[in-house]
Amino acid sequence: MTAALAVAPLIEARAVTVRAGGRDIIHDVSVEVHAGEIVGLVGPNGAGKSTFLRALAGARHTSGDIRLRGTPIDAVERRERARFIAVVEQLPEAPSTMTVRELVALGRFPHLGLLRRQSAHDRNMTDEAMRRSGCDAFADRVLGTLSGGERRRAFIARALAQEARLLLLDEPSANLDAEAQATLFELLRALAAEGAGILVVVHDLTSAAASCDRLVLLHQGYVLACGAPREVVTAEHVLAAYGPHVSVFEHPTSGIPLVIPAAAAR
Amino acid sequence: MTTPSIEVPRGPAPAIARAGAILQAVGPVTLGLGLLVAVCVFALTRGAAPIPAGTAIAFALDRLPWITLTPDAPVTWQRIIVDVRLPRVAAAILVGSALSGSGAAYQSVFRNPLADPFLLGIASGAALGASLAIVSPLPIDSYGFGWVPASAFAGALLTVVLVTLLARSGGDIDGVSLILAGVALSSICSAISSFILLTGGEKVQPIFAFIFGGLNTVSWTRDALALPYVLGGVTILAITSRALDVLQLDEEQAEHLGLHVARTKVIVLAAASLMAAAAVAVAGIIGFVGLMVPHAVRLVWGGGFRRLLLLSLIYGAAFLVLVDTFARTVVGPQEVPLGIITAFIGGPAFLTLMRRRRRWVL
Repeated sequence: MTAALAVAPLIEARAVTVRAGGRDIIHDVSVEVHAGEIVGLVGPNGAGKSTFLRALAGARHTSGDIRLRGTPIDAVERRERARFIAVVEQLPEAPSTMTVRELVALGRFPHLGLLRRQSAHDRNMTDEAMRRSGCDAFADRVLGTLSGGERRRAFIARALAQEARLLLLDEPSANLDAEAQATLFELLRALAAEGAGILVVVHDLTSAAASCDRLVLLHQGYVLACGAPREVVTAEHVLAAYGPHVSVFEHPTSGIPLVIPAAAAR
Repeated sequence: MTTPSIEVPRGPAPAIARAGAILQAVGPVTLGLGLLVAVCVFALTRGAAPIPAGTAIAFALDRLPWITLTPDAPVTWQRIIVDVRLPRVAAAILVGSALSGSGAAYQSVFRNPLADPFLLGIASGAALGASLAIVSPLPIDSYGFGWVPASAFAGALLTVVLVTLLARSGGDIDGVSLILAGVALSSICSAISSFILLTGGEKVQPIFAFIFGGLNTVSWTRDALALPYVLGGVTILAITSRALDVLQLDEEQAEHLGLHVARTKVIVLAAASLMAAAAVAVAGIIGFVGLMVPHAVRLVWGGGFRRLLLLSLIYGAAFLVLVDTFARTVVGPQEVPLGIITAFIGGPAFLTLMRRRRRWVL
């Protein structure tokens, strides 16, 4: 029993349903993320990926059970939750006059609250977060002058500064060039190796299959498939979720599934 | 082959750059405090009877409990300094810092540089309150904190509460609804005030004085009554300043960082509204300070809310002391309404700053 508790997943969602506007956006979805793994949330546009991510981050869900290390999420106090879960939304906003360093330092808020002064540790964590996500080079520039990729890294650094065990990232690789994407997933892999759990929404099935330990394929709010990338990204599942215009191939050497538009495959 | 011409970004002119370097070296807080002291001394010396700076300072310091100074000067000068100019300077400090401090809070909480203390109907609510008190059979300003400022204060707070309640949905306050409700309620209040102005007969003259704003009716009593609201508001804003920094991100991120967004908004709006309402009760409606000072501070120095608040308080106070001195001296014995001068001085200064800053950024 104690052994079971010791490996309790960082987050465990059971039969979660989110209703909005009179219909189920998310229907009966169950997912768990353990320490050390990267779980990819994939699915076509409108499948409910972002909504589900928000529910996991503590937004209201209609029914189901979400637990952090075995404790119901609603029973976890706000700031404690923010020390445990860090979220990067798809298009996060911040004033264009804010510097990267100021933004990243806000990641320390769950640790500081209103009154505690920033300690050396807080400053170190801010610097470390910027270094790891590669924004120390432009730490003192204002957000308004950054490129799309730099901006994204700044927000990831803000999440890292939270020192959270669980990272929920909504399409962190969107608008990143191939190299930046690779660097990002290397960073996520390193964080997972240190014991973090990561749930990441990925648009591109090929890079999801290549970078994640497990995938959850959402379709119209339901889980269509979940498991190892090769079990999830199959011709059958892809046909069901994305329709007939997409084809699945196997990488000749690694065996990783490759997903490309069908027209290109003809 | 022609050499492609490369646009070299033009830096600020050398004189401005040098001034900027000095500003940077002295630090905005020291500079602001120095400025504030200077304009206060200037204000004490100016007026119908010019009083030398040394004498003015001595009389002012003599008011402090642990200092006794008896400068060799006429007693009337002492009366002028202690009973007339000093309470007025104190009121200008109080009103200027309250308006610009609350402006900083409104701008931060709405993440909108155009937000100002009168956005939620404080001005028109206060004007209506004042108008009602003026046409009612109650005594007008018979002593110190008379019925007019008290009723203006009540009108301002009532409007803010009403606007906030109207904009609430599901425990959260929606920014756009709040502003719309503020605009709608403002026009209702203004309509009633205008009706009172048209039908009130001879009694309505003080309403104009209130609407134009000014410090000509201040007294130590009124200063003292407004002070706790301003101090309380500033304290609350200082405590919540880190939350306001987090709120500069969108509300979803703020929630994810562990901030109770709805509660923070209510607390900040309440504190800022109290400050603004107290300022209105002292001085009537003085536009532009709450909008311009925090915005200018942000343009020049940037940084987190705590710094923005501190600098807004200091520069708002200095600005209003200076402007009030002009208001009472520029056209001889007649006073020019303060609101007119704030716009007249503030407008061009602000536009210059805005244009210059734009050139620096691009």
